Amino acid sequence: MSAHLELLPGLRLSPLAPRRPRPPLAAVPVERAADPVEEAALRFGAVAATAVHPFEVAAAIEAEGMSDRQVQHRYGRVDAFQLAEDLYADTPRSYPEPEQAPSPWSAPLSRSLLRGVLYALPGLAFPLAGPLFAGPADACGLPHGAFALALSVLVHWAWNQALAHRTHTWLGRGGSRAAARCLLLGTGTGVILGWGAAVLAALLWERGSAGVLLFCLAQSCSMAFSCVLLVLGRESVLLRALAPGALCGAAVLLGLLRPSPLTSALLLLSLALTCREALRELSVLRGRGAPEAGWSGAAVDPVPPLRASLPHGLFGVAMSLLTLGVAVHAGRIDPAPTVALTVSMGPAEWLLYGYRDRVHGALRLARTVRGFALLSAGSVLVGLGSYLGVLAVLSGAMVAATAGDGLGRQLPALLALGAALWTALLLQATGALWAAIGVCLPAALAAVAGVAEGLVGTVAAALLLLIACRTLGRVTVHR
Amino acid sequence: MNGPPEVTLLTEGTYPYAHGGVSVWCDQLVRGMPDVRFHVLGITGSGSEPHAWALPPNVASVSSVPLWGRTPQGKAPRGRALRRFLAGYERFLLSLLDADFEHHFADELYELAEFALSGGSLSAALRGEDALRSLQALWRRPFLATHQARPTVHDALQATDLLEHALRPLAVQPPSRGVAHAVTGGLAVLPGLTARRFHGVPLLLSEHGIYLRERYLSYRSAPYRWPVKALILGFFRLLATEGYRGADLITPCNRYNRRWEERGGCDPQRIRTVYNGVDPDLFPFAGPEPEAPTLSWAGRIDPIKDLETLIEAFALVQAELPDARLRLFGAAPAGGEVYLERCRKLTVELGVEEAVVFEGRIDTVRHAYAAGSVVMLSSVSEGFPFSLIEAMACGRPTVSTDVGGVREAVADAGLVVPPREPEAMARAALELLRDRPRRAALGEAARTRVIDRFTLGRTVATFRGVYEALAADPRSAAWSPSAEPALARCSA
Repeated sequence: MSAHLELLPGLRLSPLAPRRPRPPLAAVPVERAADPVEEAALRFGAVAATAVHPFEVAAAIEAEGMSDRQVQHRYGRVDAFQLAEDLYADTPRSYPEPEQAPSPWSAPLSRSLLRGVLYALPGLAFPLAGPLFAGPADACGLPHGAFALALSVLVHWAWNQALAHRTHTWLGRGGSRAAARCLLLGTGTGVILGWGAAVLAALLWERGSAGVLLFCLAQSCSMAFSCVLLVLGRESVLLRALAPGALCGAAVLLGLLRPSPLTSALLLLSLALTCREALRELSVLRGRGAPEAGWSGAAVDPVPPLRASLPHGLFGVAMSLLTLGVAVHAGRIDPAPTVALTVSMGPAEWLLYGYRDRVHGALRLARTVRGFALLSAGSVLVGLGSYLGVLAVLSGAMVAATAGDGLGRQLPALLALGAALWTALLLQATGALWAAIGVCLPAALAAVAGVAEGLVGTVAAALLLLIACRTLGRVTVHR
Repeated sequence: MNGPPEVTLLTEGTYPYAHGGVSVWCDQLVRGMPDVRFHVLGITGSGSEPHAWALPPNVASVSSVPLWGRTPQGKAPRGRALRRFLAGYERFLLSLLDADFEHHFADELYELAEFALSGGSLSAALRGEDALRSLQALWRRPFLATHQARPTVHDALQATDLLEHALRPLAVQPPSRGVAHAVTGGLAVLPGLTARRFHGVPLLLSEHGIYLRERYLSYRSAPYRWPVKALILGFFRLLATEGYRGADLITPCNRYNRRWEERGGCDPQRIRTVYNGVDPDLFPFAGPEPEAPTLSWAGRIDPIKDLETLIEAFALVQAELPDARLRLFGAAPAGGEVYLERCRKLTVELGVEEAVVFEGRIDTVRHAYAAGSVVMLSSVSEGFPFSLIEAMACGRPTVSTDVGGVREAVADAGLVVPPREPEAMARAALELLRDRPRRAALGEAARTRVIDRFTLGRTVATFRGVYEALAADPRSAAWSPSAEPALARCSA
């Protein structure tokens, strides 16, 4: 037996054929074997049919324990090689399909829907905080505290993107302990950065905003610790933690309750629960930590430097600017489109999985590179179309809920923007992050500068779609 | 040439990173020639494997070529360089897929090596979209066998990935002086071939098992479609051929292996069998037999050792001799515990769990042989197994399966049975267990046979001579009838 390694990690091949009952004719005296050629074909025909070379048949004959002498005696050939050549030549080839590996890209829809709801739930805290936002209007006539709040949310979304990337980098390498450390540090830094941004905005643009800053601090903690639970896939835990505050907020929104010390207490309870659950999950992760020596560091590419997560942060900035931007209209805030977009991010994630799942099939179906590119492009369009459908339905629901009429007119622009966002997420998920940033960041800046969002969304969506069809049509992207 | 030559051992998955027969053999060579400077160039998995062997001071350096580790860095060629690369790559692929183009394989392989050694990133080039397009367009051509199997782009992706990993050893700087000694066929030969081609370093190839044969058997269960299998096995086959063609001397550890080497295109003049050897002082007469009739086995617990047949055979033995025992010495390699569990289960199914003992790893392996009245070997594939000649050196009678060089080792100093036939194995074991004088006579004959033919001193001296001859003049090391061991008393 030679020593050898398989070509790919995790590939385990056994040189043994499955054990089977002894060949039926082994016990029969040689003279009585009806036709040696037929018997050989019976015994080794299956191997010969799928073989790629006569040597493969010879190897199988030897592995059955046949010596050359036995071959001569029983089959009248000089040796195993000659018998193998004859069998290989006489047997028509057949091409059995190996067992198909199940697609790794199937995600439960319920989980994605839940994530979408979770992204939007923190928004229900705003009605409860009404009294804290009493104050003179900000610049541009926006409500008091809007700048501080928006800047803080922007920083968090960007930071959480980068943090999630960094954590997944560690988790992918089996470094649970390092992932926990990274999350803990990242959460602390996130709170400081998020709140720091609010303070900065307050110093620059607000007056008498202690209440706003208090709210922003709570919100920073909530967003930072929620991120831990979302990254670790503990959606249901997060839902339970957020429930008291969210239910309360919904009640206030529907006019069933008024903001009071009790509602504030429930909001703080949700915050406390989120923090506690996040810290508990972190300690579980630390405890699970197979010591870093246990995983072979060189088996995968080395951990990229911190700056590798920077583009993910930039991408987060662009996406949140675009998402938040749709809420501002001519000096007043209309949260409906932002809420619709935020909730739709859950189904969007699920549709990304759907795309990958279809590509998994397309790779195994396409027989030409061009054919694959077409299948991939078709799959992008199916995903995008589904997403726009979901977004339209959500927007409709928001219109119905808020009895607002503005959204109807905004719908085309919102859909264009949604198309850009989903396609950008698709590019990010498939590794073409810089292309997504290259389109989304200028688009976001244009939107901030006041270019009509319909135009921004349409141009960005068209560009991103073009890039997606081109890059994702390459087979090696899906390695 | 002054003094002893410098030798680079080319290994794959063995010395100094793993235990096993080939590693023992490497260690014997290295320790047996303390005045020869050795380097070890090992093909490894992740590249972070710790050394399993303490290295003596004459091992001057150890370096590794990870097959799986981080993807080699570097930029893929562009423009004209890319077109040039692809043209060569397509000829290379064609040589793997079409018998009429096989003769291009060697030239194109060395072209790829030159590309990798002169600063190009072979991995980046192969992982590119263009290389994949080349393959997909090529293997769908109607005149190729792969056309019938209707390859998909996913097949092309898998095949390219396998090739990219297989060709990584081409990018390592090959030894530029002394003698290159590949201790196994397959990928370890790649640096040896480039060393010979680019630096004129003589290449010695020692085969314990037949790498190509084992690859054929393994890929029967691989999760790949036919075209992928055809391509990668085509690569292994032509690599074997080029190794046989390019090596200055081939030293299989048994005559049985010669068949594959000669079929693979090796000039019989350049094949010289060198049997493995043991130190008879380290494996002295084992002394009195155990009181209960005992079968013992020593080795790595691995499917290739076919312990299931041994356990089934033992169940038949125990039916005749109720106080018979089976003692299995050895541990399962990391990740191989499933097989150990299967064997344990089988003992329960057959109702022999009381009489079969899994002893685990043993430090002094001769005690494992001494523990048996008869020593068993049930493998379905072997080269020239150490456990067999060690047991013979201890003067124990053996029952072993007729695979590889087993019959050459045992001749008539033990019983040989067909592999995977529990009844035949049980008959042989019973025959010996019931006949004390026969056991004694066979044990005596076995020890004499080892001392006459399979001593470590003899193996080491042969290789020292080969190294010196190769270093002085590669072509002088060719075969001569007097150097080939005779197959005396071998009833094959």
